[in-house]
Amino acid sequence: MKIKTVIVDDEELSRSVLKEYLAGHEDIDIVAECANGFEAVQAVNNLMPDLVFLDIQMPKLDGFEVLELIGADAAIIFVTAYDQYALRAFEVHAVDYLLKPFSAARLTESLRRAREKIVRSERIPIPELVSSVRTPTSRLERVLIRAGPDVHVIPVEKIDYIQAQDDYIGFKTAGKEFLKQQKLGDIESQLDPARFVRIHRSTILNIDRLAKIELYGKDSHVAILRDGTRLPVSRPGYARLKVLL
Amino acid sequence: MHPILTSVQRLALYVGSWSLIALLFAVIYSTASGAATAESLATVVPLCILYSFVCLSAWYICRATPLEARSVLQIVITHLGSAALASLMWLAAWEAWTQVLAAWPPLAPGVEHYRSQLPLVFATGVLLFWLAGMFHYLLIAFETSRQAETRQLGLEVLAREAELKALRAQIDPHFLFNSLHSISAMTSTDSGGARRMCLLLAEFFRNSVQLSAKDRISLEDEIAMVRQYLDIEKVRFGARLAADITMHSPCGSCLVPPLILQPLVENSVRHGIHSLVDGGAVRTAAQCVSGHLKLSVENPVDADAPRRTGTGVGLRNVKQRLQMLYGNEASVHVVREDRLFRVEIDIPCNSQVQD
Repeated sequence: MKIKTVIVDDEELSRSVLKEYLAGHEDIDIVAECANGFEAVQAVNNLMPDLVFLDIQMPKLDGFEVLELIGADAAIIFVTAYDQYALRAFEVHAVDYLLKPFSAARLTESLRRAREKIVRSERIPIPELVSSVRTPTSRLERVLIRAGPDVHVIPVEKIDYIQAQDDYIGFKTAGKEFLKQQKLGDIESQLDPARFVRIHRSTILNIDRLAKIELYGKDSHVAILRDGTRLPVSRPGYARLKVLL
Repeated sequence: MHPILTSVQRLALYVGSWSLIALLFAVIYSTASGAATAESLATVVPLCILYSFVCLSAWYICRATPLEARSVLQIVITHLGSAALASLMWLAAWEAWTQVLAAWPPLAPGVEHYRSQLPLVFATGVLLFWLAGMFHYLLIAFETSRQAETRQLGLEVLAREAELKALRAQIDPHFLFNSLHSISAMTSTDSGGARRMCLLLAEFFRNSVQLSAKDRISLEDEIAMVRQYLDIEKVRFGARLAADITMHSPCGSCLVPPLILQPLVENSVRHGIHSLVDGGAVRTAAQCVSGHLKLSVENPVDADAPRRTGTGVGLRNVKQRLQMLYGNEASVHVVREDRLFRVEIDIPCNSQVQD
């Protein structure tokens, strides 16, 4: 059985040393080489590889963000010069963590572990994986959304508000909406609470976008955004807003 | 040792101020007792000067009765008692001195005059001793605060030295790991390139070790090191990294702290070029204008990348070092535009030859 392999590294020399080492392993079939995170996400989606060598510091998306987008169907081996990500790498169930520069023997050991995992074909559901990537203290800096072959990267400060819609949540930014399969509560816990407020059971608001709050009916409120959008505010949501304002 | 007795100047100032008090008291004494001016002066001035030395003893009393450690009652009783005692001694001196002066006929009534003014003299003695006490408390407070200041200054100097040592820029070890990885990649495909890279690395590290041991190096040397660094990174990044260094030739002799540009260029590569698919150019420029050296390091950035929170260790380190070495004469300015990141440094251009 051939192992379909994708190499992701922005440095050509780094890719070439991997290719050279891998040439000695007949079961390894390199199906793609990617120089950045976007290419990696597309290649993995299209080719469904068994094994991915993943650099961490790359343009566009870093290795962890790529992993968040592709899920964990493939066995992942991180390749980097930095040892400070090792713990995080194993938290996301990477097969191995190769520190540059590495020897052919060390790579052979990584491949042995990868083959074991591929044979067992363990699969980890994506949501579990994603939540394990982020420790509770680390704040989300940007939201990654995969739409077919495209990847959208939305910096959190560009989000106007987030609304729950059935199984999805919609990120509204500058009049556009991007849907992602996630729970509103999950995203709420990853955002900066000083900036994003749950104003309603189904809405999280970026407080920078708020123009004013008006009384609506007897004791409910409505938030009016800078662009004129009106969003209902629940009673606990109003209490939370008042704390921040 | 008494602080006033430690220097002649202080003693002169002290006795001088007492002479004024003596003159004032002589006027009061002559008015009160009806003594002639000459008699009053001859009596009062020497006695006051003598008393000024007695009053120096207030220092020991003040030291034994620190204001913050004793109750008000204790302080008042101590000073009242010692003042009365000192004043009694002064009265005895008056008695003796007027007797001595009486040997000279025109001053013979001095003894009578003095005896008629006993309460005035006594009260003045007490009052003056009290004043001396207050004066000594001030003196002690002043000395204490000056000592604290000196100690504080000494501590600050020590702390700064320690900090400078710690801040001495270090080359990022990952730069070495990545370079070695590149060499490892080239050994089979491009052995000439691998050897060239080894030589570049060796040269760069030898240089940085030598130069970073110095307090100041010429800008020329710093720029040469930056050039070597970029040459190595060019091997790793290939066509993605372009380097553009412009230095006005007269600036080359300006002295700068070692490794002041290198960390900034390293940041440019690591956070700027590395995050861009197509890379870009790191621009380093040096200009000198009327005794000031203006340096800038500029790189393109990914407009979509989140703005990194905090300025990073490298930049903070450079800022602190310049702040400590040049104080307010140095300025570090960070410009972050949509697609561009630039650090501007302004320091005095000092080009003295240094060994």
